[in-house]
Amino acid sequence: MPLKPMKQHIFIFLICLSTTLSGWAQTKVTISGYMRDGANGEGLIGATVQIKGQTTGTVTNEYGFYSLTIPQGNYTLVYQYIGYLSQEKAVTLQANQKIDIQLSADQVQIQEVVVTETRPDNNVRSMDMGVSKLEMKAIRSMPALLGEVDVVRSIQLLPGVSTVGEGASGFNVRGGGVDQNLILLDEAPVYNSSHLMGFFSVFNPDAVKDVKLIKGGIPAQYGGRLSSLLDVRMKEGNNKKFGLSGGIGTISSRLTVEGPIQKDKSSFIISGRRSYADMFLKLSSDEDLKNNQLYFYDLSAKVNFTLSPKDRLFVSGYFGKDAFKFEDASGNSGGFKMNWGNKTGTVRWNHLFSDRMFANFTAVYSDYDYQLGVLSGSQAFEWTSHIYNYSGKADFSYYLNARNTITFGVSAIRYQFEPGKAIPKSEESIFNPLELAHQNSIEYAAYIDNEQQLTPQLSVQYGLRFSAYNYLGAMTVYDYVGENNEKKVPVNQRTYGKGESISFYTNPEPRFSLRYNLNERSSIKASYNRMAQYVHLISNTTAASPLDVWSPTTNNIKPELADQIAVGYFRNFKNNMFETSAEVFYKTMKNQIDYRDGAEVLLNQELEGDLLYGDGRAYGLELYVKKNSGKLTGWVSYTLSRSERKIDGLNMNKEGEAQWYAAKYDRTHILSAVGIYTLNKKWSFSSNFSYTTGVATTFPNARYEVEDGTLVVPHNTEGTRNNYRVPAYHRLDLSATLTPAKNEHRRWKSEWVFSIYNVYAKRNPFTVYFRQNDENNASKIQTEAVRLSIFGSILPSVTYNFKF
Amino acid sequence: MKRYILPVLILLSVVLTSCEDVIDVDLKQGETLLVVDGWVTNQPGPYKVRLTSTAPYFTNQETPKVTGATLIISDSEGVTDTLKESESGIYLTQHLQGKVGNTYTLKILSNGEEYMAQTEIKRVPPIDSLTVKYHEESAFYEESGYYIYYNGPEPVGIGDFYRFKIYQNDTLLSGPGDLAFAEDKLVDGNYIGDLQMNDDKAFRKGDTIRGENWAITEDNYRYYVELSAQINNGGLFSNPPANVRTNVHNINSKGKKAVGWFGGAGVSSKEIVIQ
Repeated sequence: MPLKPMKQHIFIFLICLSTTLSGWAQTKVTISGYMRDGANGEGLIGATVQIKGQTTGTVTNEYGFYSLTIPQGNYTLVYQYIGYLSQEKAVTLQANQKIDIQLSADQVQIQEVVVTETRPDNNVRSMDMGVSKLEMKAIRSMPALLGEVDVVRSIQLLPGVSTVGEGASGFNVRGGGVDQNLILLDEAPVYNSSHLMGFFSVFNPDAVKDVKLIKGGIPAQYGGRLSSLLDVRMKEGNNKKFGLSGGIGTISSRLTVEGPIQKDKSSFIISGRRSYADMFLKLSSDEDLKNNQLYFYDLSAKVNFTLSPKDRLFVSGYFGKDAFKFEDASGNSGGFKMNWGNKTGTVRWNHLFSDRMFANFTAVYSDYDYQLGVLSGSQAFEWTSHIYNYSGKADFSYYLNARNTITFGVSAIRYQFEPGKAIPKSEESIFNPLELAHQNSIEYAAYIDNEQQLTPQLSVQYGLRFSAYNYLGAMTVYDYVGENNEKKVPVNQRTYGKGESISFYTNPEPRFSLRYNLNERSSIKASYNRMAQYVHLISNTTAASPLDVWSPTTNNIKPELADQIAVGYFRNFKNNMFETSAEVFYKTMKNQIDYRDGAEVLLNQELEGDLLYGDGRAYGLELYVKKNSGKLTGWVSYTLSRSERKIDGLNMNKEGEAQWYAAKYDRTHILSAVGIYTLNKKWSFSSNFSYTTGVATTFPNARYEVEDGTLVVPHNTEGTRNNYRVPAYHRLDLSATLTPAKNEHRRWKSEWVFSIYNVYAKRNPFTVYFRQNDENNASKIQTEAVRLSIFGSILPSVTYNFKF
Repeated sequence: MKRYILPVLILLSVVLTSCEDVIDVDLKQGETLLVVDGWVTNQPGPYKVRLTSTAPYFTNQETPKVTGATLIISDSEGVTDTLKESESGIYLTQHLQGKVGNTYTLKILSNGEEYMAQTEIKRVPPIDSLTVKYHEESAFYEESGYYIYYNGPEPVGIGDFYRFKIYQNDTLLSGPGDLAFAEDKLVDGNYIGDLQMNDDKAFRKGDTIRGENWAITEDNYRYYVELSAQINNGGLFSNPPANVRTNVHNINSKGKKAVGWFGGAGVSSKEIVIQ
């Protein structure tokens, strides 16, 4: 990157900042403190503090902290949070003051239902656009696949979010790949958000406090992925009393224990979940089945300590694993195994440098690994792959005055990729050991960002993130030359020593958003952001699999870049009972990665020789209506969008030029409707419906015979990619929650959740592929198109949840 | 080892109630292209090249033969052989003898277009023996019966690629699932012992089984990787349909394309009667 544009960004930033410093001289005082849930002491994220009768106010950060600097005087402060009773507090402000507030949940809320009589008009007033917050209570109320409450599946019902198919891991945001989402679990990155190949997400719903998805106008604080940020915050643990909660479901059971270590000051939470399909296998008398494994588990543990009024320490760990083992008891066949998992450890330290300066220091270790092997015999081997992350960051929020909040910080992530190591596992194994070269790199970033209220109507947020990336030795690297439709050949071999820089990239990433309030109930917002991404998922299957290869940016693979602009109109109706929004976005992407037809992704030492690069673009309209209160709540979202790629070497026309083609996550229409109906204290019902245009895929227009006419090969004579659509997807789910009446008078509270997934048993196409009929004979070969449906029938389930 | 990954993934997804249905798909009809299917080996000739043309995908009958073409194979020693059409679409060499280490060029003149393909006959290790084991039907063996195991050396030096063929009583097992091939990247120079050859089908007492090892070229191996991905597709992690490579090229880059493969291979074999 040339230095010039960078300088310009800084210059513009300084001009903006200088305007914020005027009016400095007035005598001002600061009110600051924490907003917490009165029942368990959990910090409230995104709660609002406002001066009654004015537009001046602020929101709490991820740790529940707020700070507001206003002129001396008498005020009434209004503290509000979704689903909680508001509190008003009259204050006479002469000097800086600390006010910690504890809000209690609405009466109705105790039934675990989202019904609020009054509600802040956050969506209209806040700077956020392209932001979706899902309340855990809503997520819990929605019908879930086999009763497994699932954060990622719920997100897929939001505007602009889709998936390549049910059961596919991850999610796609505004036409981006699954790897373009930064998934942070308590500030630690999660590489694979799925259990069981993608059927369930790795987040235990009992331990999750807050889920926020940002798909546009991403603040400068976040970077490293092109499409979105999914910020998942775990509970801190009840610091008032011991609690036990859990559930017994069709697939897994959960248990969470939490409680104070020192009342009101420190607490812990341990939350675990395990599937138990294989427990039944153990009971089997069949020796063949007995030794098999098929399970997932996850365990998260967290403690926090209040060291002083200014210091708070959080230590957390997450361990998740999927294991699969298929062993032949007779020992005749080698059997096989596969497992993968995430391990993360995080230490965070909150420090208040002053009433107006909040700082958070984070250190993260994470290890994503997978393993695959044949257990015994001549083909016994074990193949292991790891991605290690060591990262550190410092984030500061400076609450300059009521009109300016400046955030700034630095971060560094050290990546250590161990793409694959195969070792023979028996004496007679035919395999030689093989280890693919380790890849090392460091990603640095520094950012500064200011959220500024210019007039009561107009607010802007402007910031700059500057990221840098260093691909490091020890490593032998090559350039790859050749035709795009062939495996390219490595040339120009260079060897670098340990720690020596191989390639260095820098990217200024400007961010800007603006909000203009038309009136009390409506606003217009606009945003621009540039994002850079330095790690990439290389997948050549339709759905991402746990064994797909993550690759860092190298001398050949360039950082992916995206520029996105979005404009939205936000309006609330009926005293904020209804929230509506309409957003349009346009996104261009550079250095997108694809692979040539027939590329091998696994254990490929020269993977870079199989990769192709090009551009992407995505644009769309997102409409959203949400009903917040009343007996019936829920939302309807509709997305009209397009996502395309133009990759050099793919989808070429006769003149040999690359043409745009629909990306595999291009969905023209996505419609989701979620309804939650509270009949009475005992019963509530919910349903969701989703409709999406089918996945774009390549269909043949011809067949030919090889191997003496015994094999029939599908062929597309035009060589176009994704020229067809599989049929549209639609599905209806229902659920009912029964809360026994005796709950009210006892400590042991329970509920039964009955759900039906895929109510009308639609056999939705996951993919369509072409094959020879099994009963072929050599002279007359039958071919057919086959639709694979992941769920071919109704899936009912029952879950029992308890809380003590 | 790679071939284990797909079954595992498919199995996992099957565990979760997935289902397959044959559906009607309305496909466009593409232009008709020449299809080449021919081999030269180090075994005695004549060698056969089969010429057909592409047809609409759901034709469900043999694709049309291409007759009246001129085919010439020449080797790196300067021997040239013009093939003779023995029956419609089947062209046979007349005197050419394949030899390990030689390269072979096939030239085709058909319907006013000229195509070219090149291959090589690679060294092939011998098969020391085929051994037999009996397995009862279980999760790992589809049927009770006899299974054949390959035993033989793998020559030192990375860059050998193999295609395995099994004949049961002189009939080649030729279904999509029988397509077996391997590279020596992870087994270079090792003795390949006890390698199970038949997967889908067990053999019976009295069967005569011939195992063949075809040492193929690297691009031919990649062709089989791609071919197998297309004809053995399925499951949650299915491959998106994509065209399989070809080594047959129109000498006029703007001319009609061709598909298929002209391959060369060193072949070794071993026969066993199950008793």
